[in-house]
Amino acid sequence: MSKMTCRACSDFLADYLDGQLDPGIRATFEVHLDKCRNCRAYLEQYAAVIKAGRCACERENEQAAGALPEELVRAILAAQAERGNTSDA
Amino acid sequence: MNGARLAAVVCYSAVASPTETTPTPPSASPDQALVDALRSHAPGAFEQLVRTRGGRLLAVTRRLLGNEEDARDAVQETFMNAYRSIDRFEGGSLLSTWLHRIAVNVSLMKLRTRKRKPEESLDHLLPAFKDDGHFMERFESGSEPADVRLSRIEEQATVRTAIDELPEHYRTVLLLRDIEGLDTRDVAEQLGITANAVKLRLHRARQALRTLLAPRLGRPDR
Repeated sequence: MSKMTCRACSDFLADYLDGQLDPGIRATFEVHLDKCRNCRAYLEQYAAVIKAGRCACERENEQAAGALPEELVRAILAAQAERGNTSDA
Repeated sequence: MNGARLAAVVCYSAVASPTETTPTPPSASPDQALVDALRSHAPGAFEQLVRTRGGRLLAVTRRLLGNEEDARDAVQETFMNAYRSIDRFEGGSLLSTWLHRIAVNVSLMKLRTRKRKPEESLDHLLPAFKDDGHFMERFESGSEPADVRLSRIEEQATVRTAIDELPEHYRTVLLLRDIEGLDTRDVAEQLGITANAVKLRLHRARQALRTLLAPRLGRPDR
């Protein structure tokens, strides 16, 4: 592949970020990226949303730590106790 | 490619490969003490497990199932499965990682038993191209990197809402790959689709998410 369009560049983004592009295609991809400011901005934004999703969900997990609703705690303990009694029988 | 740009790309590569990161090795461990207590049916051990680990698991099942009742059922099932199979926990991973994996599996099982919905299109959220292959739209880099801007605490609720807006077929793949860190093969197996279908859905989901977050990605300093 001697030249690459923005459309092809967009198709290769995920494999590029995963380091899974064939070396020849990667070289062509990087030549295109070097010349195309629009694709560089798109790549930056595409990578940013991956990172942002991870940060936002990790933050959500941290906020939720230790915050299991009491009625759910009780339901789980009751189910476990019932199962224990059944196993003992 | 100049040095600064190459450095940025290396940084993106690290961002995009959650499954390649090395997990933190388990430390000599409060986990082990709790596991021992669970194995010996010590009073209070199971309750301690539920109270200390349950909140994070509920956040995971809520995201995957998008329904509070199912999410709570999945957490309950996770703890019951964990208690039943605690003897099989080998300590090769953290207890929280092991529980997390059970919660994801239980959630996926629930998703599989739901009535299949027709796949919703997200074509309207994908980039459009001119006949010559150029993007229709112009994308701008702001003075502040997009990842820094989107990772601010005040933007995180917006990011989570945008993920929730993705059609289920795409959201599930994005959550499993990008958030929960499963690899492509695992996701394909769990969802009963091909690895190529996983890669395609993931790419489209990320593109759609970028479009949904585009108002937050422009130049704030204009």
